[in-house]
Amino acid sequence: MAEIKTTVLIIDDMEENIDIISAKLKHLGYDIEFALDGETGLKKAQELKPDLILLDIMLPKMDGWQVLEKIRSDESLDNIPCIMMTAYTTIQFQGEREQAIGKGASDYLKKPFDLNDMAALVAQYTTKK
Amino acid sequence: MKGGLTIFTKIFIAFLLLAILPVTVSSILVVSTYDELVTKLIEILIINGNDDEILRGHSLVRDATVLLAMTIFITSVITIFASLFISRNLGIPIRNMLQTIRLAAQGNLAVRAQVRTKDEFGLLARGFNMMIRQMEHFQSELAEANQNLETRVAERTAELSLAYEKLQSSTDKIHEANRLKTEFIANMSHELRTPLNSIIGYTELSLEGIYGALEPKQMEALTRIQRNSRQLLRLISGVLDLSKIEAGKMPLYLETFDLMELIRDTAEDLSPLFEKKKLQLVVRSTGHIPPLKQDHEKLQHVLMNLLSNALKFTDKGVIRVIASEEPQSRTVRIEVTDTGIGIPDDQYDAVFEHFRQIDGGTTRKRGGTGLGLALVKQFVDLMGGSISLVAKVGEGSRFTVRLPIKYHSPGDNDAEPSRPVILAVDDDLTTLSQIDEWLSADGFEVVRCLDGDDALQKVHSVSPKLILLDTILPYQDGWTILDRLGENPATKHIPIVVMGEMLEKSGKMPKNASAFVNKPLVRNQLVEIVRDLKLV
Repeated sequence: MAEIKTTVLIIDDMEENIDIISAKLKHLGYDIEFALDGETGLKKAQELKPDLILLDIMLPKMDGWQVLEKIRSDESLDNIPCIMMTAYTTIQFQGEREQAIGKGASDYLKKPFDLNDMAALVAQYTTKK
Repeated sequence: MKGGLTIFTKIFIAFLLLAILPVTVSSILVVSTYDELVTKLIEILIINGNDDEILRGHSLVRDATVLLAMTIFITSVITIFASLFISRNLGIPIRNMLQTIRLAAQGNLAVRAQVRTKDEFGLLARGFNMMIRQMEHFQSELAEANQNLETRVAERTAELSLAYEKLQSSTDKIHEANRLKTEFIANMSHELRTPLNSIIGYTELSLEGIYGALEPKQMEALTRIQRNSRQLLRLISGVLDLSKIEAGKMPLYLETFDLMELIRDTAEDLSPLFEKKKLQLVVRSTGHIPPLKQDHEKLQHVLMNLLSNALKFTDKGVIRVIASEEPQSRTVRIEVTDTGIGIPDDQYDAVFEHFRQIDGGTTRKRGGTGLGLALVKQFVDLMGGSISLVAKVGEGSRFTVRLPIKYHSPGDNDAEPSRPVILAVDDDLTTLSQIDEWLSADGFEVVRCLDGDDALQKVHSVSPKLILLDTILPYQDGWTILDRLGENPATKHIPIVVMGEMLEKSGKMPKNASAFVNKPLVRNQLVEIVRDLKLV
């Protein structure tokens, strides 16, 4: 059964965030992998080739934008949807979202997000293929 | 003395002539008489006398001749000395006087004529000395007065520049403090959100039953946690937004959209709350509303806040949202009217201030933070619009928002060419929106800049007919910007009105400015000054 499951890689330095997101996504039947910093995250992405990456922007060692750049310049990872996450936002959302997409992200979530919205977004990008 | 004999010589010659002439004449007369006398004497001697007598007579004649010659010689010598003495006595004092006057004329007022005699020359010298002493006195008084004046000017200049420096440094401090505040709030907000993120996340997971089924009481408690944490989140976001606006770091994202659709969507989002309070919500437009080119999200935020506010303070009745176009000013008017508790006249301004709710007592009962309307006002200002309020206690309130149909951002080339553009540069948003309101009403298009760099860029894209420039600006002050505008051949023809406090007193009226206006701005003054420049 495990083979047909959709794998989501969460890269976030806040363990509680990972716990919350994975609880929701596991509940919905996704396989969850995670990393607590950018470097490890990139390594795991290369090893696991996940179906989707949830990528926090503020990360130790290598920030979210750098990880995104590495992923987008790697042919084997290029087509993996990446959703950027950050808590460093306000209601002014359009600009940041456009910026993220301009940098190669598939979409953008500002924290704290509604878990259902997050799940819907994940579903949207994983059922596409 | 060129071109003539000195007075000394003239007197000398005059005296010589005066003395020698009579002497010579008398000498000739004497000599001729003497000659006759001697001849007679010789005749007498030859007729009557012997040799001895002839010899004696001869010696007598010789003695008389010698005596005569001596007399003539001595008289001549005395005359020469007398004339020398007289001319010296007259000429030398005059020459000395002349020398003194010449020195005095060259500016040396310390010279004095020598008073040697008590005669007219003495009096002249004394008179001259008196005059020159007086002149010297006046001169020293004048010099003293000048000195005093210079000292006073120097003192005042020093005082002024000290005051200016103080002002500058306190302005710098204020800007720095503001910057730190904004930074602090931004960081703080991030730090506050992170734990909130977990609270909201875990509450949501629990409510969804992911951690197991819940008792009704648990469900209720978690729902409350969820509601309160969301409220807290809105508050934090609001504070951050306000500080961003105050720091001039809130950008506008313009899109073209349908206003009525936005109003209906917003009303739709809030409809469960209206139903819950059994309030009626009416949305309508009078006439056709053209599509807006504005910041969609900020306007949505404004509408959401105005409706929430109406909802919060109304217990029964109707809440109306009415939109209409005001074609002559190219604005749309959005009125949000409620039948709630109303607002006393003297509280109109206070409702738009941060953390203020009229009658502190209602805060608890009605909930809310007092941040919503402050943000509404800031957003409306930012979008180039204005908000006003009419209310009656016990009957209800009406908020009226006026927004430009097309927000004219810099470089927005479809700005109507008929309206001359004025570039307003000030780091204070309230001042900018005042200027905008006043001058827009006078037929101008006002483009706002929050700092000098912004102005230096925008001046090229909007080609303004006039620049209103605040003196105190972050990063580079108004004076620097003024100089830079004046140096640039592309911008130096644009008239600049400098706005500042105490401009008249500082005397620092710069060469590139066309006029200045004192702050705080007064509507009529500003409009008058702009009209006087005859830009249209």
